[in-house]
Amino acid sequence: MSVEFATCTYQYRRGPVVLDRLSFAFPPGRTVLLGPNGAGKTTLLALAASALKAHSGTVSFAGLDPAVRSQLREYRRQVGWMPQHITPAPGMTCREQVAYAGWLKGMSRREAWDGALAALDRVGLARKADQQASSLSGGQLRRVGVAQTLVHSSRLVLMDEPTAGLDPAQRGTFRKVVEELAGTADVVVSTHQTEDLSEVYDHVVVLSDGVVRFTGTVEEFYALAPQDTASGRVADGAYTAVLGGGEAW
Amino acid sequence: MVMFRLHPRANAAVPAAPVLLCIVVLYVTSDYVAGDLDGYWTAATAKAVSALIFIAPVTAACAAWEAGRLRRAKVGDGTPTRNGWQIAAASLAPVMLLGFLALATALAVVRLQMESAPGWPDVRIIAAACVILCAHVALGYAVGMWLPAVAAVPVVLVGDYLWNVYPPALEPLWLRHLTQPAFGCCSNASAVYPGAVTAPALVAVGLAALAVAAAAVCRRTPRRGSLPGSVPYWGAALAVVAATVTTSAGVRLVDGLGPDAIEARPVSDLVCADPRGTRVCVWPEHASRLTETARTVSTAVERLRRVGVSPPEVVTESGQRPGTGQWTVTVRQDPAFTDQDLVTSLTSDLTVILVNSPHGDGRTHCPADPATAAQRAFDSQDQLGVWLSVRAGRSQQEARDSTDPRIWAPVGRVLGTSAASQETWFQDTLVQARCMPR
Repeated sequence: MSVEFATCTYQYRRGPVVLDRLSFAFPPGRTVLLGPNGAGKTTLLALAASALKAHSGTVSFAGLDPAVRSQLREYRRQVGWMPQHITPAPGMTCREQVAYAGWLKGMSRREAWDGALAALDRVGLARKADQQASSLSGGQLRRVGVAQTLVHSSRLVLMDEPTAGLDPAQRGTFRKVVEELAGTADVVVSTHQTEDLSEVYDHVVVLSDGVVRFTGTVEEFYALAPQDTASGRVADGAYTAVLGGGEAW
Repeated sequence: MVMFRLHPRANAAVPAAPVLLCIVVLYVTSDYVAGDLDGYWTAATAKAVSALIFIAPVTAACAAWEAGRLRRAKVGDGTPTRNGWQIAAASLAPVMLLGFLALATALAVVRLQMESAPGWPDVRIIAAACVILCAHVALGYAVGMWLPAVAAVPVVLVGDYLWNVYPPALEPLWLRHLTQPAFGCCSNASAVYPGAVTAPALVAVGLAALAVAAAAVCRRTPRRGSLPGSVPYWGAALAVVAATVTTSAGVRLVDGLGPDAIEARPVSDLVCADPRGTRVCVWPEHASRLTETARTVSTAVERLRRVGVSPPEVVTESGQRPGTGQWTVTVRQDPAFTDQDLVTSLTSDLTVILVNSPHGDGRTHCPADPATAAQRAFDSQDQLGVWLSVRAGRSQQEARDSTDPRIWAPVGRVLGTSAASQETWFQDTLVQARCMPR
């Protein structure tokens, strides 16, 4: 079971067409979504999260179509989304913000309140639970964003640039979170961080100009790298190969 | 506890509560509100609810602030499974609670200022106030969705306050009845005009419809999914129609009403007693003084009968249809309002009844100059009132102390003469009092 796009088209108001009749399905398991800036990664994840609505075509997950009004609630219940920019809710502590996100996803207040502390603990922010969210650093706020997606039990977790601004130790914590999620939910992570792909993810998807250029296992992706690629640069080499060598990160 | 941590702790209603409640208490303890309630719940409810001039703007501003928080947190850009009503309700519930608490506080403080208050607050007025409160909160939320909080809060606070206080300064007078329920209501002898309770509630419903439509078409408003196609526009059009209809209906209800939202109080409310032949009726707020009032009034009626004033069938607090057969009297709960004050009020009203009663006297004896005739008629009426009060049982000492010496002088002289002379003076003075130019 995975999220599927069938001839999906999306265009921002007075902007270019970002996705043009895209048909594609994320593979189940842990998937990393790679692509240059402006490739359409954020749009793709927002469509999958139902934060955006495709102008044409359909998005579906577990037989649910978010464009069908009666299915939207259940769809959103099953899909967790961490947007690229996490905004602190004014006046709320970290725990309140995470709990509020859970409540917005349909949890009872009690469940959300209890679950918020557990979610913050998973991202290493339990000590900051009672601190104002607005006082956190960018990296800490991003971890709050991750906690917001963890607080409710989703079957699909979508994260847009969750590791941007995280230091190596925090990225290690994040990897652990993704590994833990593997048993309970499919995960799609959009990122520019390519180190340790094989340790964290099962699949790689490369998107460029709204087109899926590659989809396969991490091993298949690595295999695309030129033979003479240095051992620490295999992912970069594969990525460059997928994009035809002309596209930068 | 969880409820408190998840929504209200950081809610604007929490810091606003002590300020608003202090303002409300200060307002309802002012003479303007608490001065003339006299145990009458309808008046007390109307006065307490008039605190909406502060409650509505503050709660609406809190709602605007809460909408601003949702905007800044970009909740509208997220993927909630809860619908827009639930999300708004969670943010606005503490604000609504503050509004209801402030209304309840106003009622409680007003109640504390009454000696006794038989019955209950007027539910119609309270219901209208609650509808108005909800509408203003909805309006604040809508404005908060459209404008940044830094602009929305002051705009709502000042705009809402002006909406409440400015109409009473405008003509036509009925405009004020569209924004506040039971404006200017009531003395004990009057009841609230029902249309003036319904009209502001109707206008508020129209406002609420516009607010909901404005919030619905706003892209930033958090909701489960975007509204399909043309629904927001149809909704907005429907809201405009609803607002037009409700406002028109409200105007029809109060069009022609004067400055106060009052009508005559039903005489069926009166509580009566029949001691010694004269039926005495008072409003239920004064029922505890009925026995004392009946005794004093009966004694006064008997004394006045002896000087030639025909006794009435009934002496009542209701001011409807006063005449020689139905005298009026004023009663107060205040213990400082004594038997002497009762007698004075009785004879003061009686004087007017006697002067205005049909009579066979011509006007040939009246001064030809209207100004002189009026002056003499006024003086005669004042003298008559004082004389009647003393003859009805008021002490001469008190009457002299509280009367203009120019008026008291002839009254004091005649009170020292024989009963026959006094009766003649009474009839002559009554004839002079009837010389008022018409």
